[in-house]
Amino acid sequence: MTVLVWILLILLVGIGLGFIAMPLVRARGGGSPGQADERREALREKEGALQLLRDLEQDHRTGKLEPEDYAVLRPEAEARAIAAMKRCDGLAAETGADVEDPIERAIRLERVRLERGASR
Amino acid sequence: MIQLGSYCVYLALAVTALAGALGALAVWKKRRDLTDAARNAILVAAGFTTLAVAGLLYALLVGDYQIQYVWQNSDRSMSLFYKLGALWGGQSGSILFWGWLMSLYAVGVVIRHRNDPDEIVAPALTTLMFIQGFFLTLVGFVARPYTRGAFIPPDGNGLNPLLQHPIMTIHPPMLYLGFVGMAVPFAFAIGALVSGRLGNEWIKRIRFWAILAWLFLAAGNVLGARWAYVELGWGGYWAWDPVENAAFMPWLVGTAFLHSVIIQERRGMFKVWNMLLVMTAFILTITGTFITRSGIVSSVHAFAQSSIGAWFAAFLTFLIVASIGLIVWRRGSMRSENNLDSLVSREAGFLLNNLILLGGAFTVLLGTFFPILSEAVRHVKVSLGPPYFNTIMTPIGLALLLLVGLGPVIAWKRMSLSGLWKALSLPVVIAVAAAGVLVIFGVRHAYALVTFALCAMVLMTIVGEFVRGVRARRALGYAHESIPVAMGRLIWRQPRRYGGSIVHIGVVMMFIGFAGAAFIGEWEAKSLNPGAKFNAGGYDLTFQGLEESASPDVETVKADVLVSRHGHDLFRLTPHRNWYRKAEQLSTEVAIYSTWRHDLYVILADLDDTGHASFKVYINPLVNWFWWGGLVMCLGGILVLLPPKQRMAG
Repeated sequence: MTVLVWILLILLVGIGLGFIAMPLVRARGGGSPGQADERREALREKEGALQLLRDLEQDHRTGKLEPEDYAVLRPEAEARAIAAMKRCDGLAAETGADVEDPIERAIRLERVRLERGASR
Repeated sequence: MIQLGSYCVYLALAVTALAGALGALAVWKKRRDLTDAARNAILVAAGFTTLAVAGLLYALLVGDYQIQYVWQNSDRSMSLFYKLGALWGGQSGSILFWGWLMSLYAVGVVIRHRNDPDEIVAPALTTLMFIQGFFLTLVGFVARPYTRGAFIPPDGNGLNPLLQHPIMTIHPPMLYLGFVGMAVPFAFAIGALVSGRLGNEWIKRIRFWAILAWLFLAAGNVLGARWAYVELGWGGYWAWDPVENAAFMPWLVGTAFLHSVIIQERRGMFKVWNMLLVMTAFILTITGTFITRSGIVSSVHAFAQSSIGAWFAAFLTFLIVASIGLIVWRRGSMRSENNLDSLVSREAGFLLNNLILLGGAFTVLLGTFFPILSEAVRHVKVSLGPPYFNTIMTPIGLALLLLVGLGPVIAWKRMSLSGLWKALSLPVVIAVAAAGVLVIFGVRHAYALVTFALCAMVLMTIVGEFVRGVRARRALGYAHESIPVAMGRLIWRQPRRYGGSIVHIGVVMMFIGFAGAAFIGEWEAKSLNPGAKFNAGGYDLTFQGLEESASPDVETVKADVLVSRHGHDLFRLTPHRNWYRKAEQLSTEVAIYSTWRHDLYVILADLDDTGHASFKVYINPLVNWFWWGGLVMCLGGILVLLPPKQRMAG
């Protein structure tokens, strides 16, 4: 194997290892990763609950769901969707994710922190 | 090149191991930075694996015969297309190809799930790296494509002539994409078990990957059947060969899984079932690979026997033990949220669907491994052929077809028998009428009659599904839309539901093709002189003569056959025989004339020294319904992959 190829290989290995190590040496910016995960999960849950509602409606309209069963399943699905939406809204309010202006968001976050500190 | 390629393989393996270790550490320490590092390592591993594959591909394309794999699987006369196919044509190349596809899928998971919680993703990525590591270990130490030959030959051996067909170049990658793709749902299932997050989150995450893998397996199976039909020249397309079965079984179980998850999403039931199904589907892909490569079961498709079988057996054992262990550990968290309310319900229908599909897969598995079992028990290798498989799988297939028809009409939770009859009455009447018409026209084959009747019934229920959907759409204020527009928008808005219906239409078409097989006609005409005429299935075939040609690698003898009917010349067919000098192998190339009603399939069966030709002719009724049905099924599968649109309106 030529020297050039060896150098290339070593370079690739070095770049690769550097790329792998990057997250370990770099601090992650933005909000707490746990909160971001929770927000995404809540959003996914909300989408799933709304899709379930749509499916129930479609099955009811096309006669695949008996009216008595629709009367039972629909409120259950609605309650699930409402709970998911509330959770989304609550998390958005806590993190200021629903606020576009960065200054407003920072004030909201500080307020939440102060309220939490006062309640302890 | 050999050294560079080998080092790329070892580096890929090392980084894969690092990625797995980082992922495992991330699970243990619950640290986001470790998961991110694992993700990056997966990208780097994919890079090195890609380099390893690129190196072998380059060697094949330029004919670097110092590499043993290159001269064993290619030669200078092969076109670029077949040299590409040589990458997966041999044992070690195909395992490297598998490892590469695994790395690409892993990259796909990293990208698609980059924002998903680490709790689920980290163990899933670790599992994927474990699987990838296994294949790269094989490539690095057991079946090494970058091995120097004892000498450098002036030319290679070439690819097996049977494999030098366009379909045979596409079919293996399709199947590998399906086999390897099944690892992703498996990995997420492991992730769900390890993390304890056993709600619907993991199901929603794997839906795309499970459908994709299923789609590739479906396409791969149909392409393989097509290759067998046009290349092997026995008139049929499915012989229950072990390698065919190896690709069929995970598809059956994958089908069961895709249906069963709907129940978990809607009713919170079948959680353990779904876990078992997704794990079984992947384990069967490894089983299939074990069958193909270990030589324990003989097959026309198999790679040469090697010691690699022991490695696969060990890997398989580990997967089975680990999967069962995890399910048992978490069984308490997988209790159903609801019970089965009625045996006449969609839930019960899906349960029956699971049982029948699993039963089918088990039947095929038993039949495939029977030679080994019989040898172990009675010291005699007994093979089970098409009669065993057809006897058991035909009623299983018909039961499934019936469920395809019942599924769209049965209600969730419970349905009264009168309600079921109301929904089914018209389809049943159509089915009986169809059977009656066929009996009047002389069809007496019982299975064929039942199949056609069921096909008519199922088609009616699917049409009913679309009719109800269009009606519901019109009731929402879209009465101005024409029916084709309404149907198009219905499918576009709800691709999962109606894409599934299109898949079912494809299945019905394939069953029509199966039913036609009951009426295959076979004729033989031996030792014909040029000018001789014979009749086959209402066609008059006149053997006009032979034409010989030769190239440096192949000697070809073509028979010119004029096909006519009632004195009118229709077309010419040229079945031929090729003698591949280097491989010292003879292959017959059939001539096929296709219509929607049947294929006229002509084989140049034999030649003697005096120019006499013998022919075998098949009339294969309705066989093209199978091929077109396969295409429709795959198109429906592509639709099912699409995400649902947010609202019914618009």
